[in-house]
Amino acid sequence: MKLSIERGKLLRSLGHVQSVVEKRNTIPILSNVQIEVQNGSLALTATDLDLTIVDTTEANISESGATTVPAHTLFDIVRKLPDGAEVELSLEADQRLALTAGRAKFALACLPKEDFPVMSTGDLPHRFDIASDQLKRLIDKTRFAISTEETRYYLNGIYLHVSENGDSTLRAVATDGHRLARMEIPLPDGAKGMPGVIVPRKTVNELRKLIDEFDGDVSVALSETKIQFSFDGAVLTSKLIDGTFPDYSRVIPLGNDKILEVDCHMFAEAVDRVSTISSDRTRSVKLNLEADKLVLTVNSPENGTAREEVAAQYAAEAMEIGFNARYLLDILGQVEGDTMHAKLADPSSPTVIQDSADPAALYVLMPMRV
Amino acid sequence: MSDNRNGAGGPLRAHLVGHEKAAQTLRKCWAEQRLHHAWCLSGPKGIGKATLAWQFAYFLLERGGSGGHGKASLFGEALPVEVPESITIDQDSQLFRRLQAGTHGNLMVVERGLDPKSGRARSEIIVDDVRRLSQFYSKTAAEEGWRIAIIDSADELNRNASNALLKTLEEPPDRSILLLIAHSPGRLLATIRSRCQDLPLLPLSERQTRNVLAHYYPDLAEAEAKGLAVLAEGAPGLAISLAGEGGLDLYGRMVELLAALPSIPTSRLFALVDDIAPRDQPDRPLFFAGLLRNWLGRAIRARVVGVEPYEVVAGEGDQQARLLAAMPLDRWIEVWEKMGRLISRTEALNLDRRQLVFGLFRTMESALAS
Repeated sequence: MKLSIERGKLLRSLGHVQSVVEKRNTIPILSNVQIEVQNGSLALTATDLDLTIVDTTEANISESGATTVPAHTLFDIVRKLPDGAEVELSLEADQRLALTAGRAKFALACLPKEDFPVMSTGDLPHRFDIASDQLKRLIDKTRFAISTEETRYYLNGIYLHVSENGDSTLRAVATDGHRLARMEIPLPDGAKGMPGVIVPRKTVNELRKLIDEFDGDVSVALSETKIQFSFDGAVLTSKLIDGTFPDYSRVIPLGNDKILEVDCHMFAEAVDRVSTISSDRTRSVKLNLEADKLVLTVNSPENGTAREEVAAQYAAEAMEIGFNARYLLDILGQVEGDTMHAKLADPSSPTVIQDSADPAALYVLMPMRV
Repeated sequence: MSDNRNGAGGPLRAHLVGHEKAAQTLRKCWAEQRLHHAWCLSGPKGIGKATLAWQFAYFLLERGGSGGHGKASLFGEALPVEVPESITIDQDSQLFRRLQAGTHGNLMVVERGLDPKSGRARSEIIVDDVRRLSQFYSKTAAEEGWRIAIIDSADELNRNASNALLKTLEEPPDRSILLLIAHSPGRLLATIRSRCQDLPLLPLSERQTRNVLAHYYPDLAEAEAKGLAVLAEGAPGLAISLAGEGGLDLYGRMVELLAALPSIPTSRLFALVDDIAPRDQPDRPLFFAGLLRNWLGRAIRARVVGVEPYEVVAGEGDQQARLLAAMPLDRWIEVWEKMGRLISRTEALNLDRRQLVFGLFRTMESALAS
């Protein structure tokens, strides 16, 4: 194997794949990235056995071949090379990869390509294209609610499925039991009939990074056990979570009749300010709702108290309700419009929050007892 | 036997002798599509439990999705699959290479991990190692077919790790199998044992042991091979370790030292312990402690049965006869039992292993003196 490539191109390509590789690995070859010359271009592959990213980029190929080298080491070397340098890679006879750039020379230890994991995709019967900004919205509006708790492993991802209520839509849902986020987009052509799948958290995060790197549509292909996202130059293939997502529609209240409308930015800033005082891990904030007035208070036995008044539109009977400030801020961070619509029922029932600018996004938040 | 895995080239490359019946049971259950999801392969150390587990894993993975609790055919029961007579392992295959490198996505091996602080292997399997297993089963299979876990060994699971395993053991997903290797199944939690189908493996015959030994050390002299087989007491893994570490020489020196009973010069004892217990191999003294106890055990057994004991080193029989004559047999049995207790307590409480060897010699000394 022998090739040369401009440093910026190699760095960009490595950047797409290297974050898949875990920092600590018991199996040596899983720390490596596979470098392969394929049909006149350079393909870099990284995997953690759960997901694989293959990034293809153009290079000046003089000799074909393949090997694997430590991913983070290679990335660090290329990162530290001067901008615009021409990097030469060649596989030496003693199973070392020689890397030359200007006067810098490295010889990296390799492991044979044959030992590198292969993720078989099997048959992927459902295929559709989705605009990258649509996919980005599906992820951004929901991923903050993904659970990190491992006992309910089926919540450790985004549930992607087709909803047939009224117009067919492609929905993304994530929840951790305290809050739920739901986002939907019009059903892309070809997605009809796809099974509901749970995309694991790490895959979601890697996918989100790739979306920023590439323009154009993303091709999605999936079966009941695998999902694949193809960009122009990179392909991410991942396992799915093997479980059943709970029937989330039952926890979205429909009968909440107390409507609160508040300026989103002012509200978020106020929540952030008053929650400074709270000392406990729960960071609870109390909302006092009166006619056209919203008062936020935080009481901390050690630090003291905080109180702030925010102008709001509220016409129903006065009530008091507590929320986790961090959860509230997570949701407010995703609201794009100026106004946040909240539908409340009572201090112990879930509240529905919606975005004035984007009716497709819906959040459900459980209150706290304060 | 996990400790000699590297020396023998891995259990997959190991030469499996005996255990035909157990292997046949597994294959038969597979062919009849009634393979239980958890098996406990039990038996003394070094008799080939891991080898059998790995080779069965190879067998399952090679056949991909077929067999097991597969789908019944259109007309009721699934068609019977023929039971293969043996497992053939193709060492040039891609599957073999990936299993050896630990990069097959459908196989997870749970072993004692490295302690990042000391850089040495831990003395037990901790809960984090088992959690990786739960994550493995919470995602869909990397490739079509079975998801296999080998726990080597279940005796080394600590309390928390055992408890963490229960949930997976009780209800793994479809087409999953857990192979637990247990040197002393009695020590496992009852809740673990009750969830596994027991598959006891017996020690091999002396001929079979020598057969395995000849596979790794074809140039061994007749007497040496026979001696190693006798010492290993049906555990070829033990015989291989002994042969690789010059164990026969050390054993000879141990027997020589026994000739000095009832009073062993401390300096000679120290010299021997230094040789059998190098700092970097903390488990080796345990191994020799076992040999010392077995030496006495063999002598007692030979006397009770009334046969001449086989002499692994010349003059051994005379030593055994001399010592047995010095004290009534029931007292010797007491000594033998006490030595067993010392060994298991040292292991269980992680006491100083070098001290154990001193202790065993001193136990024999003091018994003779009283």
